[in-house]
Amino acid sequence: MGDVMDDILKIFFEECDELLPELERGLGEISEEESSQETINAIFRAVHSIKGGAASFGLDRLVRFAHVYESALDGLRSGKVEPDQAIIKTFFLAMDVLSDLVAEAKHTGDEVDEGRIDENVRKLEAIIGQGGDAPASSEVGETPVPEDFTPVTVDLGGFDFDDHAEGFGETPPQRLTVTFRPHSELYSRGDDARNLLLGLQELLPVEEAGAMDVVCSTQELPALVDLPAEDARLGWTVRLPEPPGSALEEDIQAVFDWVGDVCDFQIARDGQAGEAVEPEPAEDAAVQEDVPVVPVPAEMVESVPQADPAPSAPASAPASAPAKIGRKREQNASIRVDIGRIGMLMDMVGEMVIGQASLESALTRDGALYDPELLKRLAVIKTLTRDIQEAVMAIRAQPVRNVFQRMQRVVREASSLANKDVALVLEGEETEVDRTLIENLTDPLTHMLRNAVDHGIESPQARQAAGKPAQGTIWLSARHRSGRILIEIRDDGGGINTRRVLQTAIKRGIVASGASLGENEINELIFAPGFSTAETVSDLSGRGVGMDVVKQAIQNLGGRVNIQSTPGKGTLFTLSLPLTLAVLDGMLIECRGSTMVVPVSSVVELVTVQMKKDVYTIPDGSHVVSVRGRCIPLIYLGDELTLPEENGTQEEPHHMGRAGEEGQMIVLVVENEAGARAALVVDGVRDQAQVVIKSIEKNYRQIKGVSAATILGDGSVSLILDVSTLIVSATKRVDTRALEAIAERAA
Amino acid sequence: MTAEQKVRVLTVDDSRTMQGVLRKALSEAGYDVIQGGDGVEGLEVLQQASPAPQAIITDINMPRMDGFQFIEAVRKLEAFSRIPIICLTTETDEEKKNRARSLGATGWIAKPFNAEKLVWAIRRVTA
Repeated sequence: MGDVMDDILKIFFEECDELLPELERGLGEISEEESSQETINAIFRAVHSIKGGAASFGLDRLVRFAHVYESALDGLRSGKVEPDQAIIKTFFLAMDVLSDLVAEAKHTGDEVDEGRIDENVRKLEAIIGQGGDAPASSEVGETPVPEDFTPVTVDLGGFDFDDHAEGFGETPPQRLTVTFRPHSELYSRGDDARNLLLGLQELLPVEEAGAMDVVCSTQELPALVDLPAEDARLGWTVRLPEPPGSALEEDIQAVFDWVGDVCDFQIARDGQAGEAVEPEPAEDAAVQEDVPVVPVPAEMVESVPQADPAPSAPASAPASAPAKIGRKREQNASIRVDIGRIGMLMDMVGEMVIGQASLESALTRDGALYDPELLKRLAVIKTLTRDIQEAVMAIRAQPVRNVFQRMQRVVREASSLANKDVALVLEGEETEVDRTLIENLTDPLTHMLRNAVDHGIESPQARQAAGKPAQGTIWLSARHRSGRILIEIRDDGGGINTRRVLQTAIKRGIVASGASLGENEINELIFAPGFSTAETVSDLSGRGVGMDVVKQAIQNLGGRVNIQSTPGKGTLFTLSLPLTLAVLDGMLIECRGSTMVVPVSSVVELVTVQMKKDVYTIPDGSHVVSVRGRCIPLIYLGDELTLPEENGTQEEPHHMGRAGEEGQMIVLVVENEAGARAALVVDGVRDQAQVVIKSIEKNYRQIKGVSAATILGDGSVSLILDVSTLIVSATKRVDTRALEAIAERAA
Repeated sequence: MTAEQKVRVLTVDDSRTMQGVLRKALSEAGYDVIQGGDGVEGLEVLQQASPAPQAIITDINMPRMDGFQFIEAVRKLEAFSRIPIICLTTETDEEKKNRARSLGATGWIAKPFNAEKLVWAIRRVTA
């Protein structure tokens, strides 16, 4: 129990740390005469919240002072007090006292001088006095001196039912008769006569629960045809045994406390004046014949959640607990840090990773410097660097829960629009991912889930016809796998209709008719720009964005999308994403003397091709290369990025990267998320390394074919290639039909 | 008592301290607690929750959408027009209490409250 209270107290102090500056800001605005009613409400709320929270922990001094302060601010809030500079000064001083009292409670500050408190209380009371004779809150009006405001420490121990049994002795009990008749308003306020009956029964000790007689009076009930459905016409008479010395009558009053204005009720004691005053018992006697006594069924009582009797044992402890908790406080205090600072730290750690990697490569590659002892020590630094990197990442990590939970609403809205019954099951919500990634996940996930409801899940009729439950299910799960996060969206719908997808793709000119594609390749077509299988654009997914946009968004996050579909059983979308957007695994390539970075996630393979044998010129003049029987457009990276030719290096072997020239060349086969491939002609591959991503748009401007930049270990700036754009521009140039023709010829 | 059988209660309060206290008191008494940080969030959580809560506890003085507006909005939702709503508030004055009542509040608890009072109130409306 202590732990939870501990946590809540921690939250309270954190909240104070947010509320006090808010109070200061608000007072500042009022003093500058820039305040609105909302500012005044906000400062009132700040003090009010501190008071409320403090009361939960029995922080007496804090509560008392906050109460006076709040009362004074209430005058301001209701417009009864006009804030002049003197009053604002008093509020500022009071804020300091409040702040010191918080520090005192936190044990980070000295005990606040009683005299100082009194002085400030007097000044605040003077302001309350100015508010005139009728302050807005009676709390303020009646108790300007809050001596009677006794904070109640929250007793969070178990709820002890034995409390109610106390005082029930051997003496034969008297009986109380409660007569009540609820008005219809009682029901429209969410209450119920049953609640009142059970409330009364609960006043009795468990073993005497049966000793309560209940009679229902139906005499006001009209004939069924005349009965307005919303009207309350029943009255009840309840007889309870009253143990001597118990406060049963008071407890009964409490049961009816909320309904005084919407329920007639009376309490009478057996053999006392009450019965004579009341005409009710006679009436009831009349109806008793046709309406039997209704004892409250036992199962109704059992359905009420009851505290486990076990935790009632430590219930006596809490009175002394808060003080003890307070002492432990400071050690595990948390601080709030500006996200920008963590970003900076992240950047620097990333650079440290690169620096360490370059040091390592320098030591291992250069045989002359090879020294096992040195390498061993370097390995220690390497481990440490990784640990630091992970620790910094952990600071920014957040569970995907918030994004996931938002999807419940998306699915609910989508299914009601589509007239489908769909349940969303969330798994792995606690999985942590970098904050920046989480922010960027919402839109693609929203779209994919709408899509799953709209196209994945069948109509309830179709489902039942297929022998499935009418309600469809979508599973949204997250988990970590080998340094990446895997998000799966699985539905138990009809799966992808590959024939229809292919037909549509041909109709839209996305693939050539007669192309022979594998099932997976066909499925991937739904990610192609301009593709939509729905005959009519529906309200849901057809909001002008297709799956190609989703794919692009995921790709921009450095992720990949995969589809697996089983006809009749459902579809599974797998998103694989990096844990962060700050660092990426890159392949360092050389091209015309520049070092550039290709994200490893988009590299398929690195091959050496024979220019004469493998490279073809297609009719439009562009070049393709045949790799494992598949023709892939060639991209001469140097030309594509218009890199200047290096002088005097024409004969260098790395410059033979031209179709038609002699010999071999190195190509890097890269793939975008839609499965489209291109072969980058490069001069060489230098290394594979983790690089820190630096926005180039922020520092320079957008460059086609380049997504970002990084700083390498040697301090030089290197560009990170935007593989996706490069592939798109290459495939646009190449006629797909020509590609197929060449593939056939090569085969 | 399995999780599914637990009575679900929605608490709406802008103070994270209060939310913590409410969560603790109610979950220890065997309730399933869901929470919203102000009226707007409360409405969102209420409509998204599955299963739906069986009772609501709400603060009155909150930013964005206060307790009064919240109660009014909940009563307008067909599915929740009769859900019990208990106001949790230090506002002791009758006028405010009456306003809450006329908007459809079922009952109220004055702050500071203790766990017993809170649990009693919830039991009182979720029998």
